[in-house]
Amino acid sequence: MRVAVLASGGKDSTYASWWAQMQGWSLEALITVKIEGDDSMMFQLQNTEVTGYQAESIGTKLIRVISSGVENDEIDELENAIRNSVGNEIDALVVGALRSDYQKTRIERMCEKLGIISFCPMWHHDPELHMNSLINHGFDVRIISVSSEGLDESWLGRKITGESLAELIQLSRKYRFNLDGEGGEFETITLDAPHFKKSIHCEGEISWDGVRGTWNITKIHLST
Amino acid sequence: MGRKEDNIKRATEVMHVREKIRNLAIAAHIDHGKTTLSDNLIAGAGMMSEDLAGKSRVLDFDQQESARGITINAASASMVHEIEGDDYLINLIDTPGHVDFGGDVTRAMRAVDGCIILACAVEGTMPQTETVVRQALKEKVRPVLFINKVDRLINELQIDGPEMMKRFEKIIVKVNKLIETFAPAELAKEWQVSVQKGTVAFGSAYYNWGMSIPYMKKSGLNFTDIFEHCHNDEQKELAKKAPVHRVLLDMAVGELPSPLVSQKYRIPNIWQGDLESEVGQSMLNTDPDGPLQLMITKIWMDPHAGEVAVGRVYSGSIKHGETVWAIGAAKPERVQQVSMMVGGDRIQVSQVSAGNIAALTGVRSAAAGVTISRDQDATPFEAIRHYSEPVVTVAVEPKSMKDLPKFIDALRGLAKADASLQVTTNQETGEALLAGMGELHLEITIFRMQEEQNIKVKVSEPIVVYRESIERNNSGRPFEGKSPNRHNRFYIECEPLPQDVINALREGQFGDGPVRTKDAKETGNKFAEFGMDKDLMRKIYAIHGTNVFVNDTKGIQNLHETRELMIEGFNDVCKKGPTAEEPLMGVLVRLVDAKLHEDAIHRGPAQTIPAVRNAVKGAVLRSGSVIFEPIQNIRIDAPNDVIGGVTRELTTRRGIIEDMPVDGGTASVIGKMPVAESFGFSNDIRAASQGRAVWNTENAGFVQLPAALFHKVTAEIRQRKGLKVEVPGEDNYQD
Repeated sequence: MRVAVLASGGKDSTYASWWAQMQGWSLEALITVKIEGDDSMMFQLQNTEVTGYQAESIGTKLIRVISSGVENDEIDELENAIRNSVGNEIDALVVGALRSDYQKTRIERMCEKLGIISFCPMWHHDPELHMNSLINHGFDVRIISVSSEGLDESWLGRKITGESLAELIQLSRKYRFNLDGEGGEFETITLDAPHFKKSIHCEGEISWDGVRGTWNITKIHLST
Repeated sequence: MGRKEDNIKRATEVMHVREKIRNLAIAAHIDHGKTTLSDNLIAGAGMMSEDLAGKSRVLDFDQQESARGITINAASASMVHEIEGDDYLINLIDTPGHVDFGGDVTRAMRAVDGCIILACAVEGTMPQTETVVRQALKEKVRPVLFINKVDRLINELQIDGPEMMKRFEKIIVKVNKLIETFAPAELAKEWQVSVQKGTVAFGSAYYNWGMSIPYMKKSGLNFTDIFEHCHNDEQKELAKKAPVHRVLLDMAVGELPSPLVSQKYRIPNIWQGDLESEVGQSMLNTDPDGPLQLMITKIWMDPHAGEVAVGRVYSGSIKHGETVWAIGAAKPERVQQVSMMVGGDRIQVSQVSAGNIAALTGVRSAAAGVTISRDQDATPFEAIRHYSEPVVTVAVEPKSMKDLPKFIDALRGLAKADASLQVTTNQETGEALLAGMGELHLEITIFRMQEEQNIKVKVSEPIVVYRESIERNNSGRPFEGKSPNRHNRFYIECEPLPQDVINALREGQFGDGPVRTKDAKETGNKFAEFGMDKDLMRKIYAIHGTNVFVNDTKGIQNLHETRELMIEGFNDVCKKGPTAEEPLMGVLVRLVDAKLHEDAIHRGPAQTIPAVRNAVKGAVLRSGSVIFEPIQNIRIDAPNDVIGGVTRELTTRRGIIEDMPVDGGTASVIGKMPVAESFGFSNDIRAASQGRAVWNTENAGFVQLPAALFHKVTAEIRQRKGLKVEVPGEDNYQD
């Protein structure tokens, strides 16, 4: 099976690419969408440039798609980009969607039009098990944006560890948000993973508007 | 057998004869002699020495009540009254005369069928009397009138017969006016009181005598006899010929309804269930063999037995040892003891039957207002309405941290026993905020906790609870609130509610909390009766205090799924407004548009609640937010020579003088004063009048804070709460 992974650079798409490799499938490419606007209903916004380093570390190629971020247009833009690049080289697209029907149904419809299969390997995984599984398998996950009640700027740049996860669980119960960030509560980047040949190192700075904020990469490189 | 024991035996027998039961309360203003009168009735029935009556105050069984000389809690007492060889059972509920305990008065009224309005012959009716009578009439409790302290009229003021009649007439007219205004329309006429009909009596509770037209006929006494006895210092003889307990209990038995009569018209007023059902019929007929239906009206702490729940049995009989449900509780409980109350004594009995007042122990989940039944799914009584909102807060914490568990427990008990008290605790620091009806209310609550539970506490200075409201609207300029993930947006417009709607909300006419979709139409129609837009109000989502949330949008997909969360956001702002985090008052909040992420996972609580909260806060600010402060009516009576100092004291406290009637050597000042200025008034007025002024207050709602004080007051509140001193602008809620 030849597959591509829709990759944002975050924890779930990185997990998805690892899962695909663990199936013994051939990982042909990471496909990443760069949003030009300031919002998107579909795709991660922040620090998607990290996917370039991830692709290099995994040893696969990166396909960059530029999208407007306009609702419903963005999925068509992705479809055209895939058709014009790896459309004929892959049998399936693997995505890291967890519980967003919005993402999943649109991806499935797109794949149908492209004549390929879609996989959602972590669909409806228990959030707490999923987060623990990332830690236990050695994923180095950093929070790079927050937008939810209960999450303040102290979370920006923080690594997900046993300790910080325990804190996050408390907050998610108190404020009733999704522990895995599936409702857009927070976004992540992955700096290391079991299938990475080299880890990624980066520095960044915090931007906070009182309600939501981001951690923006200022320097990034692979370990030598 | 002593007289007391004999009475107990007769009481337990006559309890089962429904037409011979009278449940009554005494409604009066503070210092008009209510407890003195109660004691007379109890003494007359042989429950205490007659010489002590008027002096010992059995119903004031809380230590601090006697110390302060006012009655704080409604206790109850049963007694037997004999008329022409027939025994009648009188269940007397004492009610507090102090304004701060309006919640207790309402609850006492729910338990009785009739009440004796006690007015002072010298002072007439007072504002608080009016409040109490209004509460009685709303509960369909039939009134009779007793004019007290007539001895002072005769001996101190040297008034003659015609002048006395004139004074009585004035009081009677005023009481009848109240009845006409507040009694249910169909009963207002029948319930008018008159000397001729025998529904008015007069006398002196202190000297233990009373009189009425029927009693004059029975005894052959007349007005001249009364004057002579008073002038000749022979009131003791008069008390023998016309004991006040006999006169009043005769009046109660003759003129006030038995449960058998009153439950027929009171049940539809206080119970919302199906009147045709078995339990409905049983209550209408006061059936002692029907299903048990009892409503708790008061909880008090007995030093030996612990929590005692007192309530009225409307149907069936409550039996010692049986298992019952406090409706709403998680599990059934066993009734350990069933008792009747006699002043400070609890007399254990095997059962108490329909139409009577029972005291229960063992039912720990009972709280004031809760319904007790054998059926877990029984329709409870309508929640008791409260006519007052807390206006003063103090912070309390135990002096020693080792008392913390006991302290938390005591607070829980207080909140259960007194519904007019709001308790919020911080589990970590042990600090609690007590919000109540006034400085005195809180002082007594804390005193009681220290004495009864033996916990030493630290108490902060009292703090006024203000209200936030708006003076304009932002119609056509909705405020947008965004969820943190930006994928959900809510658009809110606010406008002030009309004053009569606010009053009706305050009285609980529309209920409180989320309105179920199936009830929205009916609730909307009720608002339309106040002249509000029917189509709009039928889309009501929720009521919080005196604020209303309506959905004024059309055809927005998935909106219904976020309904509960939007209500949470609305509730948050009702509790803590944008100006100073004080409660919001009298605001109609309209959702005029919304944009939602179609995927439910993107509009969870942590997204929707803050978005709605911001939208409502911004809309309130955009509508011209203002602060309201609680005020109270005040009446001060003082001798003419010190009245100047009294008025000065009032005016330096931003008081408004509305009237200054002079009556002989006594002048009165009637007016209003902000609660914020009332702290310490007690001491200052005593100094200003050399201790010769008598004063009373009652809460009188809220008025807008003078513009000149807005910044000072908001800065104080915000600083105290650890907020940024400046009031945030609307841009703080927008991004």
